Amino acid sequence: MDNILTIRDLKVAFQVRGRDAYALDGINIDIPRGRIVGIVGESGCGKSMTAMSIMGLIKKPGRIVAGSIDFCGRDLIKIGTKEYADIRGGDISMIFQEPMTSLNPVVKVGKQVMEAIILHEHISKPEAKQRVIEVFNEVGIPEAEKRFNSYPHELSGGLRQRVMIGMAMICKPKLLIADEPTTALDVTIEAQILRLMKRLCEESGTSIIMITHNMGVVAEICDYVYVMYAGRVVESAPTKALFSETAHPYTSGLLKSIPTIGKRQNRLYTIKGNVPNILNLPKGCRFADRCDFAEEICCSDRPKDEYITDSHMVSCFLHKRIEDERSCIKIKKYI
Amino acid sequence: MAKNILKRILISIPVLTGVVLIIFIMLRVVPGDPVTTMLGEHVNQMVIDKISKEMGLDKPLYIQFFTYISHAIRGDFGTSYRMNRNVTGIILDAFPNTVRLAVCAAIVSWIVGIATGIFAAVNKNNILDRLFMGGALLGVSMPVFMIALVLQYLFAYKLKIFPVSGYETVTSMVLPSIVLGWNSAGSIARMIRSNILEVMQEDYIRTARAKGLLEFAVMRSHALKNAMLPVVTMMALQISSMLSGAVITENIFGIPGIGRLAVNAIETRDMPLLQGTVIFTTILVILGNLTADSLYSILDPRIRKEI
Amino acid sequence: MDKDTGQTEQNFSSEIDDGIDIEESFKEKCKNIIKQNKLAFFSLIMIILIILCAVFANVICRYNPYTQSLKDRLLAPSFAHPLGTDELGRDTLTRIIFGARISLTIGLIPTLISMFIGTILGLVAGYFGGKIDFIIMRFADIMLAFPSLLLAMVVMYTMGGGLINIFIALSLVNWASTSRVVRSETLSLSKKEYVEAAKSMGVGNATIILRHILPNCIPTLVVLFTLSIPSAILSESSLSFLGVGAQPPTASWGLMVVSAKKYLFTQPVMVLAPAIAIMTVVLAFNFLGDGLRDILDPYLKER
Repeated sequence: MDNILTIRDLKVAFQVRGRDAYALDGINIDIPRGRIVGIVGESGCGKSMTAMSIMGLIKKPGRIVAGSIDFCGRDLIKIGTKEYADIRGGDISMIFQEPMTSLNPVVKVGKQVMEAIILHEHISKPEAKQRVIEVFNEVGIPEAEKRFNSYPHELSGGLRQRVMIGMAMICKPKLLIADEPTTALDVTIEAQILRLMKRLCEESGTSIIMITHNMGVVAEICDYVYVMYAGRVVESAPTKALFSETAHPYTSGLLKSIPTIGKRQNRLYTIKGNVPNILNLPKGCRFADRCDFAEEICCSDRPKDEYITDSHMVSCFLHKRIEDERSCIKIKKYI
Repeated sequence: MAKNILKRILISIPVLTGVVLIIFIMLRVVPGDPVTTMLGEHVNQMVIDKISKEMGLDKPLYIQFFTYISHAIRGDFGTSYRMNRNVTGIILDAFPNTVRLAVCAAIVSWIVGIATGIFAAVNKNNILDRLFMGGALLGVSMPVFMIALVLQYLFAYKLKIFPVSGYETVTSMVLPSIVLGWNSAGSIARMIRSNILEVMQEDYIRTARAKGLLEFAVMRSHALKNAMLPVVTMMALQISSMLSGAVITENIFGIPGIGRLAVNAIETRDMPLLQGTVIFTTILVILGNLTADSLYSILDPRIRKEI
Repeated sequence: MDKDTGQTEQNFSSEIDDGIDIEESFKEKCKNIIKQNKLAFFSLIMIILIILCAVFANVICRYNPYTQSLKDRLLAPSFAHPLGTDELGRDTLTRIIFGARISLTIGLIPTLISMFIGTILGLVAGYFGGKIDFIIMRFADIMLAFPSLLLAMVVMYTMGGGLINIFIALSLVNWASTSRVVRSETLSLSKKEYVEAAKSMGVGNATIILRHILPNCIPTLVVLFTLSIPSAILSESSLSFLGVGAQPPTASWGLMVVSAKKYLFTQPVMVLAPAIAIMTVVLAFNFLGDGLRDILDPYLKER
């Protein structure tokens, strides 16, 4: 397959009181060209850390300890600061969760978007301004010309996120990382924004990494899904397969905790317990103490990545057992 | 925006009246008769009464107050006991010297303070940062007179680069400006550093980095403006502490400015002069605060619109 | 000065601390706090030492700070007089140690008084709002409009020099800034859910202020207090330096500097010693205040 980004055995560690705590512990991710790939998991499982590693923006005291991030034939871990800055915002761009705080409050939004294109395409200011207004029109900002001179606080959350998308898309990146782009928005706006992102990517052939904890978003736009738990990928599959042939108990837990319309439920399923502390990780499977099916081996040994089909990977000793369980849960097509 | 500034000006009128009232009362409760103080102990009671009457001191306090206010509005702060001159004239003579000193000091403190603050923030937590911030804290912690005496000793006495005192030549202004600017340079540096470091944690800085800006550009076009906003306010607010510092600096370097006048007035128990200088400096401070508020609202788009 | 890495690390470790035994982590936390704020900790020790010196000045010193001895005038530093003697033959070191008493009382008492006044007014203004707030805040504006040194000078002019009058002058000058800080804290605190809840249950205003608002202001007040002490000490020394503060022969550091000023070029140690003493105390309190702010900051943000 034609992958635009290949992450192999990536490890990111934080040094806390002299000990290394692994926020990412050997993850493998492939992003095919022109596709939308979802990364799901609870908060604190390493989704955003993955995104920041790709952007090369991990905050101290965190650092990449091992692995490779191959982007179009270049290992991003090994390239220099300047080269990386050229890629950032140019070939790889990112949209953040909080449109309220992600824009500089004292700089006009148009100028903030313009900055990106001037930096990467070295065009003149009037040209850049023209491009920004075009992009604003494309992302559905009404009165684009007038909005060019607005300050962020004068725009609604949805508009601000459109500005962010415009900023991310203006240089026609090969890869767009969207870190929970719709979490802070109203549900009605959410659908619009998702559709917009999907359309833009289809037009320009951009691949998207969609980071989310919302299975609905995954079902709606992703082609392929990675499920992360405590710094590891526990299951990855094409979206359809993930929903219909769920192999990991964690994934099935996530799916079971979606409320379904029209089905009587006394109580919504919740996965018991919390994500383990990365300083205090269990010896065996990291999900063992929260898993309904855990056996002795789960607590003592670490499961290996197993491929059920060519494109469906799971890291669990018990995935066969889950298959029986699965027949009981009918996951309806969501939305 | 103009409306808001006007509102602020209106609010400062009662504040100013309050200032005058407080100073007025404070100076009137001074033990001893002002005329006796002025003329000395051994003067005929008749003469004292006559002069009291001439100066309106026999009238009730509130009438004296209103007379004073109505004169003050017209720019008349009374007549100095000692110098036998109009207080306004004395103050206006001294004022340019203080302004010159304060402006030089402000320039010193801004340049040194801003540069140090940015430099320390860029070198966050390494040895240079510590060194510079230690220096800044030292700047804040040193009494003005100590800086003055140390600099006098080193540069005027030992190295003989600058004159010990005086105010006429350019070289004679160097030491006083450094002395007066020293403290505020320290506090500006500290504020700039902590503001920059705080701003650098903001989400929009992450956005700027994600855009592909290099660290230097992130600092220049995104962090600095946000970090400088509160500092602008602080600079205007420093007029107050500058004037306090000027009192000491002027006395050490023999600069005949307003601070010198105030101390002279106290030493010679010249009540109208003291009253005049304090009220005059307070007006300066209030004007400074007004400027600070207006400047902030002009610079910060978030506030600009609300006004 | 370790604020930034310190903080991220602290936040980070506090996330991680969840699973660890609380008692152990408390001990470790203390250790961490000291480790991250070495300067503040060192300053605290320094301040304690200075306070001890001031309290036991009578025991420590060989000389009397006020006994003049004309034959020992202006002696250079020697074994008998480590910092020399002044123009009246008094031992400089002794006077500096006794001077600590004055500087520390000046630093503590007026600051306490002005904090007390400022806190009450700030609480009242912020909690009740409306007219009371307007009046108190305009009054604070008036006080803040005076250059503090000049206002203190006027007070001293009216009442004459001397320690008690310095107390009064400095207390009068400094309450306004405290009241502003406390007011804005109170404003934000009184919008909190727990205060709203207490109000809706009919809890009295005094109880709400004392039980819910004041305790939450205390970290801020502690920092403010620590950072106000040095400015009070500096003000006293400036006043004394200008001749309107402590009066001779009081062993005040500011006064010592001014009386030694004439000898700056011949015997600089006479000027430098008290000046350095002022600086040390002021610096120590500033470091301590900075450290306290860094330590209390995460708590303030979480609240």
